Amino acid sequence: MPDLSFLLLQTLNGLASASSLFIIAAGLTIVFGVTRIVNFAHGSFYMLGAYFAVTLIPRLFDIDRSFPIFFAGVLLAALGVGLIGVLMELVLLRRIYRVPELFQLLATFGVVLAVEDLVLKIWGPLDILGPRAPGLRHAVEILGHRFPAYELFMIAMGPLVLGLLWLLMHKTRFGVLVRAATQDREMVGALGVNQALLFTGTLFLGAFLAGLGGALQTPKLAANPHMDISIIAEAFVVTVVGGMGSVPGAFLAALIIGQLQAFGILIFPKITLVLVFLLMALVLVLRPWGLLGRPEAGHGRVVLPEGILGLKPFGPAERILTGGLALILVLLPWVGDSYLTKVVIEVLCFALAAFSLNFLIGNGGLVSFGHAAYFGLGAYGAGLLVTRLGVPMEPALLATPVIAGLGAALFGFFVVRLSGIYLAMLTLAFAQITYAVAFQWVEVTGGDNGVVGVWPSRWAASREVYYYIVLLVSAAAILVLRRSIYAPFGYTLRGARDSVVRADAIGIDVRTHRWVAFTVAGAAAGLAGGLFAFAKGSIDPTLISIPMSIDFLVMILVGGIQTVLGPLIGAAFFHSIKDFFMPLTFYWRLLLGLAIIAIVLVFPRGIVGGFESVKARVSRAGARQGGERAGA
Amino acid sequence: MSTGAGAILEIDHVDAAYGQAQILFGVSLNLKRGETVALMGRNGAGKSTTLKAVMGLVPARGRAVRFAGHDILGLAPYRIARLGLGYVPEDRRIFTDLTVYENLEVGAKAAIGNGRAAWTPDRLFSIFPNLAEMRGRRASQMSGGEQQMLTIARTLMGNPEAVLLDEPSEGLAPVIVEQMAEAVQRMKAEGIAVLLSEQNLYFAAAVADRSYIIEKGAIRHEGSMAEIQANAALREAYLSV
Amino acid sequence: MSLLSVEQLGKSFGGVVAARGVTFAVDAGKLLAVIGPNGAGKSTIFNMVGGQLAPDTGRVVLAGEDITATPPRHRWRLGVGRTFQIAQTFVSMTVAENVQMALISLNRRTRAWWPAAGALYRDEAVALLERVGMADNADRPCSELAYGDVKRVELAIALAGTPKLLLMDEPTAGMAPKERAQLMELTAGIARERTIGVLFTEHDMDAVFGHADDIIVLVRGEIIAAGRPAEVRNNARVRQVYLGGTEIGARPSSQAAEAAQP
Repeated sequence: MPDLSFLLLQTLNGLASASSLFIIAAGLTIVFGVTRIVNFAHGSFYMLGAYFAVTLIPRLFDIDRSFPIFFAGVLLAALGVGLIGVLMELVLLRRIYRVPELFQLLATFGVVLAVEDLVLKIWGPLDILGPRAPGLRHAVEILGHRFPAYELFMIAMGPLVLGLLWLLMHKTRFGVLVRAATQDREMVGALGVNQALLFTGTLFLGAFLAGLGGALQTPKLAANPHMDISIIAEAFVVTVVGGMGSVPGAFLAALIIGQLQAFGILIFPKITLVLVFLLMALVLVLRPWGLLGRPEAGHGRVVLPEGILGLKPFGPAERILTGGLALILVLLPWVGDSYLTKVVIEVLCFALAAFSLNFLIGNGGLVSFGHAAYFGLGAYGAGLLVTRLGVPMEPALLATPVIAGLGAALFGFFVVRLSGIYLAMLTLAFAQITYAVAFQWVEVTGGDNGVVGVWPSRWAASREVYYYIVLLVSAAAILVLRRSIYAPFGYTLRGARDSVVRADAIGIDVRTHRWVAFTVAGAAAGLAGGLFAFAKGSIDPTLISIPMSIDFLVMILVGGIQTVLGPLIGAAFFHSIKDFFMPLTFYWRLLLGLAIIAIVLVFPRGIVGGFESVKARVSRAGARQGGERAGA
Repeated sequence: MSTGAGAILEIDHVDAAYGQAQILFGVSLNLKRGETVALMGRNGAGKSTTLKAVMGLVPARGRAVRFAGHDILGLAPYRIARLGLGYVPEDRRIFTDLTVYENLEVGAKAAIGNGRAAWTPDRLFSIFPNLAEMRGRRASQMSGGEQQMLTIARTLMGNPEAVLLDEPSEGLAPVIVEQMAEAVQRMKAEGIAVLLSEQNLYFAAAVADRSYIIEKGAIRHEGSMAEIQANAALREAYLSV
Repeated sequence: MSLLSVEQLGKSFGGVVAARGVTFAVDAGKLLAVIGPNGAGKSTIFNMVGGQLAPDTGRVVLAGEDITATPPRHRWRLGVGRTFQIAQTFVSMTVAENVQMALISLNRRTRAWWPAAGALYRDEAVALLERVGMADNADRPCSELAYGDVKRVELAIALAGTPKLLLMDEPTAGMAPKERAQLMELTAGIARERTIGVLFTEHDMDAVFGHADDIIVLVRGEIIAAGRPAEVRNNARVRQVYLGGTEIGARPSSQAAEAAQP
């Protein structure tokens, strides 16, 4: 039997991490409750809190090296982040409350990219450890074990923040309005409350809490430019498990997850990350709105869905364009240099993955935040078969859609039971599980470093030959998927996206069709991942990471989710821009982030969608000259 | 139709639609200062949509909606509310996670400066004594009738000049319906103009000065309450089966 | 035997009774209207017949088969077509494609991967659209139609399943007055010609009294009257309910007026 005092110590560790998780997640959940925006930039706020603290506190120590000064520094840092939250609300969010959810998300991710680059520019790439808190640098003896005093302080901070938030939410008019708006925004407006101010205040509070979480971490965790992404996934999990919009729910979820991490590491040291996401998957399947959340009140209004609208056959212009593009692709190895060929190989892989994602999102209305999981499963499947089992390229490549398809079938079984933002969060959770396995199961996957030596068979080793393999396979897969969009299966998915009620009423088993679609899309992404692995010659966890999933989303949103072929253009555009700017400037993330934000603000239908609306406007103008349309 | 002289609210040829479904077809009506007017009709006739259109809660088009000298057509609901127009929704839309007192707090808003005594929770509790006893209770634990009282009290906290009252008697037990009638009469006594949508003829007769009848999204009749009560043909055509 | 018989249906939500002891029948080729004030339980009854809600008590029997626990998508295959209060169509598709989808599903080809859906069952779809007067609009996107026309498309979708029973939840809601009469005439004509039983809820009394063969009146989840339109129209209790139940006397109003004086 394990030592009781040791168990107590682990419990304390769990409580300390629960505190910091709660402080961060509380901000996220409050912002979501009021604005209904899932704010990816919350992780950036957290990171900024840490950097502000490591910059500010040493200066303040010039005045006096004491705990009150340390704490004042933490609060000042959080305050600064709160103001940045206000800035973000005023400049960006205020303009996008009415754009589709997916675009809001993308815009906040644009902020993530921009902030990441600014942080690199200002503070550099190296970790910066903050000063330790005066008066709390010692360890306390607890049942014969030494336990850091700062951790005890952190344990107290969680309930303290919960208490202060409770006071704020119940004893101030602002808090009461926040709670009212979380339940029914429209009614709050009809009672005369200016929502714009309320939203600004909410963003301040949310960003302040994220900044506080970041600043409080600095004595134990160095500020680094990657802490935004790593925290955002955890904060999402806490928010979703607790129920989005519920502060007490976030507290409860943080307590559970803190303990799960503390004890999980003793029992399953390899899969602590997996445990957390499994918990989320379990909670979502049993209680689709989280522990203390409640279902969103639907208004039952019929709105045009986001995604593919009409399917039109190609006109002459599109035919010529496609034909020309095909010709260029076929001739590419002769006309372009080796580097261009390499870039186009990557574009083709991403195009297939993006196309399969839009098959789900644009056609099926299933917004997946974790498509990289299946891309990664394919890549790892191929890579491990070749390097660990010595399987040749051909069968390994054939196995990739099977491996990824099986993964997608397993995860999809749960995913298709949910809808909307919770569905998206579950796909993210499954992607993180996959990522965690790849990251933590070092013996097999090579962990962080991945595996090298994933090369094609000898006959396919030259870049040109491999190029044609990729071109052939990805084009064939895209054509098959595209065909299905025009076939009854694709129509059925689109119909279920337009109206589940109607689909059900004409005898369609919506869930099963979605499950099949999820599996097929996963298989196609897996094939893309396999092709990509052989192109790069290596695999590593970034292929499964959140940024990879987001890249796929950006590709289809930039291309236009309401078009069938938009994702291909988006993939080409996005990857070549990234490839072009990355070596040229240190600021490619900043530029990319700003570009994404600009696209959401001025071009919310993507490149191809924008092209089509221009076309429609021109033809409407032509029709108007022919006389006014009958019947308004 | 009567002219808008002395009218605090004037709806002038308003159409409204939910997406493709058009609900209102050129609705015009007015409400004078201090007056109580019933907008009557069967369910589905367009009563609630009329009130929502005035409040900016459904997309509406038309010539104008004038309130206290402002054209409010197309304004955000909160701006309309701040001009002194209160709205009590049909489905109450109480903030069930909040206490009774907090619900009132959300509605609180400064008066426009008409010299009338501002509403306070205490003054409202004197009219709705039930609410006083449960001020600290969560609204989710209230009965339907109590929630209906609360939704009216919440709107009064905004010190409105006029109130849009959507189906106040719907789904309530007879004794509560009588209390509702008293509440509406009290508002009138306070000088607040009330436009209420109603299908309960007895309720309307007990509180309203005038009435409009709406059917299939258009106003079909305007007249005094006495006239409707006396006119069986009118009732047959628009209210009864 | 009736086409549809509903026996002793009951349902409550957290202690609030939405339906109690509801029993009625619909015959083939006849229109039965369910009316009642808001909150009377019309939608609850309707959704229990449609399969969206499971009743606490009672049975729903279609042509001799107990379908009480049958999910909506299976009811459709047994011959239950449905239209909704807020029309439910596939807004990203054309009018014809909407009907074609229903035919594709009827023929169990929704998983077909290769054939172009736009060409499948096109003629049958246009024929159905012809019947509801929408054939000329076959290639227009559903999102462009006037609402009255959307309702017609919905009717054609429901007919694609060759239904025995049509469930229509407020078929004329949201339509202009003239369109309403036309839609009800169309529905009644189709019902008679194809001997389809129609169960509908409706607020528009012209639609109800002009076209229903029988009417049931629900109040607080219970049937208070049932019969031919003329019988229901002359039922004193029904008239009373529609005008607001009990009278509010002069008694409280004068008191309240006095109480209001400062």
